[in-house]
Amino acid sequence: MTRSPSETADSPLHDLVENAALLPLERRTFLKACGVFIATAHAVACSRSPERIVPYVEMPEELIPGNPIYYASAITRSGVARGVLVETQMGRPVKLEGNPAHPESLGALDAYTQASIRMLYDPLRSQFAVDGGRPADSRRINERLAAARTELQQGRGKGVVLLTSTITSPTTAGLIAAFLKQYPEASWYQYDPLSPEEQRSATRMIFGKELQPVYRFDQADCVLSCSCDFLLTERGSLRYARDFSQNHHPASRMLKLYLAESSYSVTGAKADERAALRPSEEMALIGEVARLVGALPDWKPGALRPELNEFAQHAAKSLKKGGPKALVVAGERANPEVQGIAFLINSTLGSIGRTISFISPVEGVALGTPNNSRAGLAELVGRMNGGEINRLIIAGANPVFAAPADLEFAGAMDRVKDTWHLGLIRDETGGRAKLHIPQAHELESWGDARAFDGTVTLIQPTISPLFGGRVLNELLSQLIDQSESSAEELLRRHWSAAHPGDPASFQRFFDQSLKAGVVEGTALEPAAPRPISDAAARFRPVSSAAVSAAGAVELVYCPDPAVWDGSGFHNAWLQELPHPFTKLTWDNALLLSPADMKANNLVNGQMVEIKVGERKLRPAVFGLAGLPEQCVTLSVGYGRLYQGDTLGFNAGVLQTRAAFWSASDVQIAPLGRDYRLASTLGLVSMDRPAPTRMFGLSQLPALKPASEEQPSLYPPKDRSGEQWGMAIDLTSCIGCNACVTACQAENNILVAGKDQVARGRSMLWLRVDRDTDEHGRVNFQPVPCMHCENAPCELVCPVAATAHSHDGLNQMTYNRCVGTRFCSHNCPYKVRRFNFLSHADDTGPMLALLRNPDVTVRERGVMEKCTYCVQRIQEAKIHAGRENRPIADGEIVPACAQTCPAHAIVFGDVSKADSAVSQKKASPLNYGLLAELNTKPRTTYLARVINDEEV
Amino acid sequence: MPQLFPPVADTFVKVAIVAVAAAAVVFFPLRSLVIRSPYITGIGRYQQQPFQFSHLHHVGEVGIDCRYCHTSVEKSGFAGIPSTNICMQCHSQILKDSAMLEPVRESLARHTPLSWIRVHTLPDYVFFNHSIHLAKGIGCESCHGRVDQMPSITKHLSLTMRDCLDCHRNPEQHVRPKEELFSFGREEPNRGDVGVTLAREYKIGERNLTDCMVCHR
Repeated sequence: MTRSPSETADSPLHDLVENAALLPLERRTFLKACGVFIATAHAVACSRSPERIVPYVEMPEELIPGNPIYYASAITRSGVARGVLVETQMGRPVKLEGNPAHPESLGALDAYTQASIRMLYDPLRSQFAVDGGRPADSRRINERLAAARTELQQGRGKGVVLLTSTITSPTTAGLIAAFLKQYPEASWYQYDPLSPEEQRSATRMIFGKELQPVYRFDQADCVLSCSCDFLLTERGSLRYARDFSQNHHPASRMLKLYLAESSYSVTGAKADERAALRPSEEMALIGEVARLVGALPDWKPGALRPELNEFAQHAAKSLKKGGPKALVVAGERANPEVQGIAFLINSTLGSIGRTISFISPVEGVALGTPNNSRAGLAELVGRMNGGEINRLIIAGANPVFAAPADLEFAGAMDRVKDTWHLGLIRDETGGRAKLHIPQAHELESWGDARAFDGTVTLIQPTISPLFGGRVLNELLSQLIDQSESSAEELLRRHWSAAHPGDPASFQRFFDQSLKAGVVEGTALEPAAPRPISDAAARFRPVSSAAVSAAGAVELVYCPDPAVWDGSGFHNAWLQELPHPFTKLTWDNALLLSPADMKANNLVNGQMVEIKVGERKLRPAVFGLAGLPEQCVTLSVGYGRLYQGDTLGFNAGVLQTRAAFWSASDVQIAPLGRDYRLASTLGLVSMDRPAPTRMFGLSQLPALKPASEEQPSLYPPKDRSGEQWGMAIDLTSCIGCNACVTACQAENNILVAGKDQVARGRSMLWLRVDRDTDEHGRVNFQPVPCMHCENAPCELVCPVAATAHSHDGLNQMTYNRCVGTRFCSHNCPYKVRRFNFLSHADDTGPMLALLRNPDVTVRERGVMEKCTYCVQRIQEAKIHAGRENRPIADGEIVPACAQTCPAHAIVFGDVSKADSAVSQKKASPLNYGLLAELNTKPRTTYLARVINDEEV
Repeated sequence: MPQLFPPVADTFVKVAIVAVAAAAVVFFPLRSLVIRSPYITGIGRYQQQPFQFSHLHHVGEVGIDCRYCHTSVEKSGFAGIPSTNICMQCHSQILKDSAMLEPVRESLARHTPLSWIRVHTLPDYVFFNHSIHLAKGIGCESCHGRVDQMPSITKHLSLTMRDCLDCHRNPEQHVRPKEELFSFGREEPNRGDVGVTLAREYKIGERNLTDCMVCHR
């Protein structure tokens, strides 16, 4: 792996050596402890309490004990639904998979959604209500609700404010409408730090109304993205990732992606041509493209750096050639004017209605324009400070953490007489509220939500609320009419109102919608609006002065690739997930370009003081090649308390209303202090460098299948019968980490924690290596076990705990393993993980419910690794065996391949020439990792292809 | 420098060497005797269940098919323990006032499940699937023994890895015709070509049955 100098400068390896003495014990104490341990171990080993079997009294009809049942439902990210299929085992939800019928998921899920199931069982979940600092029971909450209702009636809602996160649920929107109708003096605000309000301003500016774009990457020949991370953080990203990766592939039409951005996103890593620019240069760049394309003919070229100018020329030429099949996308949180120009270019190209269409925003559809912006929140804070508000009901939102810092929401909250908080976690807002009510997890509740294109999914519970959590719909209903309607009744009532007709046909509709996971015909009608007449006239060219002077540093904020806006912060799976580029776990860091690192004399992990106006933060820094110079990046969602420790650095203390997504004139001063960052970069890596292979599209015709056959001293393996293998297409892989979390969920992989990860003891079976080539281009390379035919690990195991199966799997038998770790030392790919500690015991009985019953939970002292999801292979064999038929191609899908939005991973029988995996492997792009070692890996890669065609 | 050890130390060492060797010769056979004894494996040991249920009566005397109660045995890895409802399907008509059945009636009335003590248990790292064994012609009796003669259920085999491997190495000795899967008292093992023919019919042997991950996942 090639790394920039700033990355290698501070190798965490020396840390390992320094911390070699793990136990702060003296020799004598240690020996005494050993004695006590041995004595007690003998004492407790004498008897075993008998295991019990507890059958049902009345067994549910559809249940077959031991077999999973899947329910269609949805998980929301910032209010927008992703369709899931929830796997339940004997009544416990254990795994989420994408719902193929859902327009965004199409069967795939991202890491955030995969991990959301962990919060259902997490011990950090709020488990009881807190009223005035004291635990309260359900009766007490009902009393509070009744009292609040009386007050609401008396004052017609005066002084009562409902503050929610993004609501896309038609049922909730209907209830809020009813609430506001009954109590006209009350008001409703929505606040979500990641809501695309810049995008709405842009559509207002260009089309005269609030709209939401929907892109068709499957229809595009050429795409220009301006800070648009449509593969991971944009609304609809899962669908876009699928469409893009299928179309950005040599087997398809191989669209060309131009991308300019200030940070480094996974979408940026997939760009065929990428430009790193500072936020202040965005406007000049897109304006120049608009001028060249003819969208803004009067635009005067600003002061563009030569390389940006060249990028603009290339992009414009390509866009013009693409015409209606070209697409310009700007990030939903980018400067509204940049987004506006992007819409104008699309309009000029004629792509509106083809590669881009518009729908009305999915949030608050039933209510028209929602009060959903930072300006709206500022108005609310003004009212709170003015003493106008005496009851604030906050549901799902965390404004104390996520509101712009200059609003000082926390102070305003203290001025409100009564504050309520409904949330999954008693977070910053919950801790400050007078009344905190635990919220039911989405897997425990009834409800509905819209997808990015408006399609509604009915959310159904898969388990009763573990801690008696409540949902917003029930609270609203109780406040409206005292009726204690359940969330299910409310949902049925809403949808039966929309479906007049006899109850039997409604029941059919309801059952059908629940089963399918989508409500037919609810997608919002896409439109192809025209820009208003004076839309283009409003853009004046930026003078060279508007571009920040050289020397002034700019700062960009972005959603965190793992914890999102902070809503995934308490989720240990997301914390342990390495950042796509820096491989940081359990922290974020201020990302600097290597040049800026050098200029400030910094190495990874050193702390700096960063000053934005009067606001200060002291983050640790991390170097990342590919970032623009004089521009630093910090992700939001960090700097919070996790079991007593502050993890990461809170960008929120710097974000103000005026400068929420970027800031200029930032000062950085090294503090000369170190911070312990846990990055897996270089800690868990291959024995020797194996740079990702990459070819240009123009090189493909000359490419011939490379024979990697080498002589071997080992006897040839019997290859009769099924032979499992995997192909990973690096052109498709977007480095989103979804496979890593899916693997963790499927295979009971335990969380090691920051300290252990920093020691190189991350337990994740699947890692995504990234390497940077000489042009700063980043390649992602998922590395599971290679299941080598000549596996080096098998030769050195003294107890035959790892051995080869006849169908080509490198098996790991945990109960045989004695923990010598020879296998891991001999593995050139370093894909084996050792249980140094007994992680299973630390997590408590709650998380035991999450475990997959088909996979052994490994104990301390045992080696483990990717098994190709052998439990799924065995299940398919058993299933086919029961039906007395062969296993069909594609019947076995490992968890990583199942969840991949890009279809980058293909698994199957390599002994059959017509299987999907064999066809992939037949490509001339196919190669084995470190094949020169003659390990004959069964997992092979398809080299990355970039579109290098000149326009 | 004075001697560290007296001359008698030689004798001590010799005795010690012989003693260790003798101990090893005694220890290992003894150990294997102990761990394979019914005391450890629990073969034939009656387990005091919370409620007395006789397979001898239900299977041997009345002749109820195994699948009537163990409903999921052909569909799932887990054979299934009957719900109270299944007991009461018969016992709401037969012996409906019997004092012996009071716990069953109470379970249904109070909606509290019966709680049995597991007799046939495997370690958590072993994954046994009933359905595939039946599909491939291995009858209940092969592992569970003469259940039709057991007044209270007991183990017929120790269910250690050796028992599994005995059959996984020579499945043709144990396969049965499909119609005899749930019957008891059939002579074992197969002789001649019967088993081989059956094994071919069931497509046993197409896949290796002694790979680790057949049972360990």
